[in-house]
Amino acid sequence: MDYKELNRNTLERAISELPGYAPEQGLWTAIEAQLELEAQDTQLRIATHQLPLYSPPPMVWENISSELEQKPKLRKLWPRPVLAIAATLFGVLLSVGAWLYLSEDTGAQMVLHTTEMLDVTGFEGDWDEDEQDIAMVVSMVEKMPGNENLTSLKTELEELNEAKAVLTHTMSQYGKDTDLIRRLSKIERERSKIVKQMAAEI
Amino acid sequence: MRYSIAFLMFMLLLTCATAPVIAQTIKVQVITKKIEKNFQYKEGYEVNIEGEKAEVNIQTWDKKEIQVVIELISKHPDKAVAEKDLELMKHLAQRVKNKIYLRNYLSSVEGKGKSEPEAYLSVKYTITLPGECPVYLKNVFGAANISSLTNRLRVNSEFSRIGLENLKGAVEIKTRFGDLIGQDLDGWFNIQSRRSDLTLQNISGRFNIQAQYGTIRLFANDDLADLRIDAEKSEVWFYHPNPQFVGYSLTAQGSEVNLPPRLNAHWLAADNGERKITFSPNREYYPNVSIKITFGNLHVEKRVAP
Repeated sequence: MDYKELNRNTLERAISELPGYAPEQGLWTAIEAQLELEAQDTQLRIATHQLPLYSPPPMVWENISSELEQKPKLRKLWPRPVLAIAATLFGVLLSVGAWLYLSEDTGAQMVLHTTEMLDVTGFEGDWDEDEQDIAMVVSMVEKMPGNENLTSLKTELEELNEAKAVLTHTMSQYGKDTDLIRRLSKIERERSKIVKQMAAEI
Repeated sequence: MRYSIAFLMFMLLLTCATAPVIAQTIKVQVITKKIEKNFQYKEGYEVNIEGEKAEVNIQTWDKKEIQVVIELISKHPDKAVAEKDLELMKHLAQRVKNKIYLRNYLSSVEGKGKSEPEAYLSVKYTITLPGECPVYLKNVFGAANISSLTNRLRVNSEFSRIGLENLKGAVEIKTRFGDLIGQDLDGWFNIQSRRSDLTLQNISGRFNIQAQYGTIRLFANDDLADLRIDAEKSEVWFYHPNPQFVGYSLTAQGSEVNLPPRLNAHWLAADNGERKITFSPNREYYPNVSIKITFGNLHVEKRVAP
């Protein structure tokens, strides 16, 4: 080796005296396993993110509410009435004390009545008018030999169709409003783009 | 000429006369059921909200107390219909152990002769709590405005607009078919968005964003520590006051990338069609920005002070 240092011998001696270290056995295998786990984790996160979100049907909440409302059946604890009265009195006193100490606000409730003017311009639903044409394009695409682009377009359209169905169902339950119509319009624009791309492939 | 002016005047009058006919406005009876409830706050408590078609407003105060106001609103030209349909809206505000559950849902309409509700129905929550109280919010078809929280916030939202302001701590947002608008955000942010648009102003701290089919606009300040974006089929704008003092690791596939002219960086092309760039500024400390963009566009620009 060609060194430019002044004390070459000292440097060479120092280098030769440097201790040598080897990675512990299994370290590289552990790193590989860790990297593999991380890659799997990323894939899993992407996959879970693409899962649709489902709300439980109203029946579920209603069942829970009715279960909560059901009073438990009590059996007779005290055979002698005096004991029962004393226990009841003690229980009432204890409950009142505990309630005063731990009570949480039970809440207030009121019903108000007002009137207002509601702008319903453009609330008429014309978003299903082109469904027949869209179905025709999709059926023509179905007959074509599959390719990656078409498969991807079909998946996207299915996701948007599902979103549209959920939105229109909500409209039928809660009524139409500007925000819902704006969101539906955006979905319809995206659907149009995809249908046009599909048509271009035919 | 005289006739043309007369014709124009006639057309103008006609336009003015028909305008009110085009706009359809109806008078509706508004029935509001307002529920107010207070809960004592203790360390370890969490507020858990599950809203449907709800506008959720979350704000903070200095009291060790959680105040909940729920308004169930029904609108219809006929008062009787508005009142009848209001009864279909159910709510729940209850503490179970260390969780305060707030829910609203529409009772199912069953039986012969029953039909869907006819009224316009909506729900409004106004929740005031200590800043350190953790919050979980799930909302569909609504909106949320959340401000001044300092601990932990988790949001799972669909078809909703989420507004965030002055937040610190650990924040996890999942949005689908929605909009996320934020201002003054500092902490650990983890955002997963699909078919949603993001606009986040004055951000600092650490951000991890996964996005598909969205438009993302991020306006960072000098305190940004770390930013990771994995964007697919999305348009990404990243603004920084000094983009030349940021460390970049950029990967682009099938995408256009626009970098500031002062950033003297060169792309390296890989065999799989990916282009990569890494750039470190000549400084001891700098924020790390790692962006992967696939079939989209990325713009890195200097943030101009408003």
